[in-house]
Amino acid sequence: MAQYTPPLRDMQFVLHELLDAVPTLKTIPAYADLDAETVNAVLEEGGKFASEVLQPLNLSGDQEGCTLDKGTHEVTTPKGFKEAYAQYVEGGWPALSCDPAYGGQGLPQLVNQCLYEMMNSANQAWAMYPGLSHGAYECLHVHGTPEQKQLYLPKLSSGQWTGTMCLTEPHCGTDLGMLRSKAEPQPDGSCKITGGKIFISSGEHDLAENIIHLVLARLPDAPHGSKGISLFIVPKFVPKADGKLGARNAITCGAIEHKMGIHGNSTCQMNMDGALGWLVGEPNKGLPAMFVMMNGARIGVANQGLGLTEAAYQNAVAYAKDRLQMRSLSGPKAPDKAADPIIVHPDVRKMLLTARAYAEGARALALHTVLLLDQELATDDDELRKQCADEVALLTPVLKAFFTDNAWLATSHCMQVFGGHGYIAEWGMEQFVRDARINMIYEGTNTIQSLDLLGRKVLADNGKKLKAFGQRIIDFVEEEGVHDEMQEFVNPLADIGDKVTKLTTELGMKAFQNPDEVGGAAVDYLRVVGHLCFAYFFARSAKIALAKKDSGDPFYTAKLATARFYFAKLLPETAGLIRSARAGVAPLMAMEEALF
Amino acid sequence: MNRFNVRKVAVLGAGVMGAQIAAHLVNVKVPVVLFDLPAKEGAKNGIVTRAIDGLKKLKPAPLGVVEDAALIQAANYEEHLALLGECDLVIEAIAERMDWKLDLYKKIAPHVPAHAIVASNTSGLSITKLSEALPEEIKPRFCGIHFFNPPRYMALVELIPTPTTQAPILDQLETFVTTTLGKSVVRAKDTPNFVANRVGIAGMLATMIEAEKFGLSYDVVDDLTGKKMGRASSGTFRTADVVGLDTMAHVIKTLQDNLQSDPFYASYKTPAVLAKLTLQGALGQKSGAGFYKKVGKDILRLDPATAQYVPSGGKAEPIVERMLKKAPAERLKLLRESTNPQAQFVWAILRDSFHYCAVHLADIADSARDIDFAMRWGFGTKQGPFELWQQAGWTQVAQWIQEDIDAGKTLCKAPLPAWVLDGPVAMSQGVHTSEGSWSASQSRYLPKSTLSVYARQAFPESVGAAAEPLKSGTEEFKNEEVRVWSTDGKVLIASITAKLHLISPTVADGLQKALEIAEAKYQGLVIWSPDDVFSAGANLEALMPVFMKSGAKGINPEMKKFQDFILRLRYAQVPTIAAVRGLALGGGLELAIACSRRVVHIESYMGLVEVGVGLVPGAGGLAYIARRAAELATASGGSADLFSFLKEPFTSAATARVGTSAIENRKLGWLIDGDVIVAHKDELLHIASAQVEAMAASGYRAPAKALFPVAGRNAVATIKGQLANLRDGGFASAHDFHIATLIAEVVCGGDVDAGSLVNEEYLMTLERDRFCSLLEHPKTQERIMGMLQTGKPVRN
Repeated sequence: MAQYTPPLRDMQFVLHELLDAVPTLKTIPAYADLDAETVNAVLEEGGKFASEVLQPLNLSGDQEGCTLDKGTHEVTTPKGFKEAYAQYVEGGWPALSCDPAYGGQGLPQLVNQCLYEMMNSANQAWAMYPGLSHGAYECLHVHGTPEQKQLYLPKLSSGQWTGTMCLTEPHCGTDLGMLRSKAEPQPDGSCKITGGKIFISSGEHDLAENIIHLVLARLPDAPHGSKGISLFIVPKFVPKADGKLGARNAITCGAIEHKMGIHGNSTCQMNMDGALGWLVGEPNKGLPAMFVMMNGARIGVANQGLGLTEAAYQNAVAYAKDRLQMRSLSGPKAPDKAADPIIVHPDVRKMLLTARAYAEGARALALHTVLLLDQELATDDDELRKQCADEVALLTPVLKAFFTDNAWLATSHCMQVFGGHGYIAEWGMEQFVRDARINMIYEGTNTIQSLDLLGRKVLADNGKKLKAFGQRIIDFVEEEGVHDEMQEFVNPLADIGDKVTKLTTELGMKAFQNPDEVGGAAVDYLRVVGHLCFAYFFARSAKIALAKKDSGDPFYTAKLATARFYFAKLLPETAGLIRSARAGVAPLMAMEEALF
Repeated sequence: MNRFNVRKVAVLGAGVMGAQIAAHLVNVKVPVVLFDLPAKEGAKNGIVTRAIDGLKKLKPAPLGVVEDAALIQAANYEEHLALLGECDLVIEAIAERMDWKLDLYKKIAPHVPAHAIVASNTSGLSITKLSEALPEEIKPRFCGIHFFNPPRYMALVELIPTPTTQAPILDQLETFVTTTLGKSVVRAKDTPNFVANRVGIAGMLATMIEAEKFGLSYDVVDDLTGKKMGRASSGTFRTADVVGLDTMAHVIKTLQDNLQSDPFYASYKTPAVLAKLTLQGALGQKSGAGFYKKVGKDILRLDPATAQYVPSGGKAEPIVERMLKKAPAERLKLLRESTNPQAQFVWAILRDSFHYCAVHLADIADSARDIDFAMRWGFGTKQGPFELWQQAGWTQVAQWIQEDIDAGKTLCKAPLPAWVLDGPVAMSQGVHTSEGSWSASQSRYLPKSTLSVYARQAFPESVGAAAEPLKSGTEEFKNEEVRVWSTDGKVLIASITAKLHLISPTVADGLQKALEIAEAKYQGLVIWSPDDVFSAGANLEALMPVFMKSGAKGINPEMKKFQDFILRLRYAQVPTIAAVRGLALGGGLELAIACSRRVVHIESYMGLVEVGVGLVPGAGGLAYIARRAAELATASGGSADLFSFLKEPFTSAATARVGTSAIENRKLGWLIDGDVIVAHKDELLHIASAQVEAMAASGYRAPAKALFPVAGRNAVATIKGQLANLRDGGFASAHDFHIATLIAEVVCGGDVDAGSLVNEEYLMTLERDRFCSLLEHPKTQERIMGMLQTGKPVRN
């Protein structure tokens, strides 16, 4: 059985020592009353919920999976999920970062981000039920009419109802412009929606009394392609004006998918047969409206990668300290025992440290990004809002792809630490690997993320957003690079910064000549940028750890060692990636299709 | 003060300095006669004429245009001494031998007019000693005038009086040297090597001593002591190579011979390596080897341990580089406290220079200002030693120096003079105050010179706190990239504040606004900025987002808007002056051309360089070439061939040729009659403003809008034929050929008959269409991206 201890100390380090999050947010009126003690207390409670309630259901949920009653179209979630959800609602957790105007607690997303990291570590499949609800909440909060908000938001923030996003259809996943679901306007202002959706996470379940689907469909005479898509609210039960449940709507689950991982989450085929829906936002502007949800969802998926990395790491460490096997190459380290614990072996340490560095780097970068998001959403200062929005836009694809690629590697490494036992289900390690795999695919595959980064976020504005982020790094290098003990961090950071600038330039020039060049380099490029971000945050962390190295707190000793490991063993990967990116698209396009 | 007319100058001695001083006099339109000994063989003027020929090849160019070498009158002491009678100023610049100089003075004395000033450009001899042996009648009109090499480019001229020099003589000379020659004057005391070389050479010697102490190689020292420390890019050892190691040795010898009682005497010892190199005939750049040696493309450095030349390229460590970017107080603290040898070295040489200047201030200069200016102007440093010391915190740094003296780390044990730590300087925390700069010899703050020539400098260079132009006057308008202001309510000034003063839509908006304000309530407009760039061209980066979004279609209206502004400027209701200094390239030049007049610093770089980024000039530059050719053809009698007036400016635009002096730019046609060339950069604004007032007072009207003839399609065909030869001969790429063809089409007026009458709007439409079509060309895109990212033109 896997185990999990919430990494509260590192979260507090990132929030309070690295990012200075609370004072930063306090300058915004909405968060004027925020205080670090409250944040810490909330996270401690959240951690208990994750480790004590959700984590014990992870393995059993994976093994049991969800079941669909074909007759009633009802889905039953694994044993204990429903009770856990009831506890979650009772604890008020769904409302954590929701608007007080709709029953929310008004805490920043930052707190929710930490809560979700812990819930993902404990039980990703379960966490996806409330996760998608929160996405639906955010989308309606931005685009809903006052009436829609009044009707739906309080129930979503209380957790009484849950939500989904219904985008994918059998013939269209990445290319949503091709979707076919139809919406027919009715005289009363509603629409009747007909069509089929697939891969709808949490599409049907038994956790809550109602499910609010946000559905993309086409109105009659809508323009072709992505400019003809509208967004609709399609509730499972049509609520009455007073919020009480009304008639069962014609949106039903036709099947649930059998899949590699996240078995505890119901992945549904949804059939709509004249289901009643209500337009959200303007006609044909559904895709941009949905992107509010998508961007949040991408950060959410990145957070899933982080959660699994942390969980796999913790279990691998426990095993590596416990498992006795062989002697250290440099002589016995536990002579009183039959063999040394495997943590004495360099490569076991490398696997552990890789996972640890991926987790710590990701936590810092994710919370930095979410702190910007909180400022973007709450500030009155237009310039600050624009700056924050630009940086969030730049970093979102990096978070999504880099964290989830890393999580796949890290969970695999951690499984490897267990040797043959890692491959056996009861240890829970292979589940982490299976669960981690979907994160690289959904909410825009990682290749789509890399195209978004290089094509839209970097080259389309001539590198302006990237330069703004780079300026943070330059400022840091100039400021801290005058201290001897920071040289080992600052010099490689400055170096990778220069290399990213040069690589971006080169790719920009190539893309002018041949747009395919973006596709040939984007995946490598995103990984290099990911490392640039990690190098920056590890260097900043190291600065703090160095200042505290005489404090006697082993946390800082470990932080420094992890940072040193990162710079020595992980960052150098960029040399190969840059070389591959620079090799261009020609080797990919040279072979004729028929020869494949 | 009586006017001091300089009708002609005699320069005696056609060596490196004398010939170049003569060249610079020609640049600034001062008639000059250059003397040397009569040649023993061949023509008697042979020595001088060879020297004049040498000027044409010398780099950096001493002459604005090489043809002007012909304006230097050649003479020899045997035949032409009578010519001295026409001269109001005689500058002696012969070899540094007291006996030779005195012989010469005796020889010329009878021929020098009674009112003429005689000045010696010695760098090593005592002016007073020279003067003592002079014929009596010359003594009151004799002084030192110390130029720096190369005299056209180095700002500093030291003027050194003797006890018998009449005061007005120096004032007259300072005025002439400042306004006419465009140099910056420091009045020096007659002490060995005067001010700049005394401090500068002592500094180089100290650098060599400390470099050895800290075990740093020459390349690393040069990287540290160059741009990174705000000094001339050649650093220390490379500077020595350029100056010549024999010259260095000579200057050092002056210190050794004359300064036996100097507490720093021990540090004037000729460095062993320098002595050895000189002995071997390795004299630096001129002999092909010195501290460095160029082998093929590689620069090798001497490894003194093995006496071998080894690969160079050593650089400052990043940590030190970063320390050097910090503000002075933090910079010095970090350097001093660091354990890094490079950082300690940098602290050591700064400390040595502070120590040296403090100890010697009383003997060598009237005030701290003179030392700081001498180092800025004579050694190309961004700031002088006292400025840096003061900015870093006077007393704190003084204490650090004292600690190092006590610890035996300094070059000598001489204590800091009492004035450093006690009295007014300690009270004011520095040597530069609003009252003036500290004079250690007079124990008071000495105010700045009140000589009337300095009234012509609205914002002179300053070592202390001074009025910042961009915060001065009354602000009429300001956006992110333009400030519009006035100091007198009569002349409006528009200053472009963008990086390199690149012209973006924001800049264009700001200038448009300036013009509106000027027309509403000022006599006219001056486009002037306090730094040494007028405008390096259009800001392509600012246009990128529009281009990315809607392609060349999106750019066309932006271009049209800027062209409309250019025409608006040309036909403005008030006189407009482009006050140009440094770069005026591409769109920057087009902006200058559209003004009613240009007032241009002599060191200005002008050209239509758009071809470098794969474009054609698009803001009236080509329309100007066509119009100007028509005007010149008409002026020359009407029957002249239009084409002959197009050829040179066409070639300039097609090859992105840049004129490297105002004189050359006049020749290239970027400046026209009536445009004014200014020698001293700090007088530019004064003269430009005076032009506005004069033009306004003369009832300024914009030029008449007229149709003019163009050369037409046959001329395009002729040019194309010649271009094809260049392309086929491999002298131009296919894309260069393409762009040149488009340029030819515009300057010839497009597909029309020869002599067709057109207007500027028509030609600007041709410019715009071609500009936009090129924007979509992949090779142009490659050039633009290359330029934006690397700053260097892409050849494709």
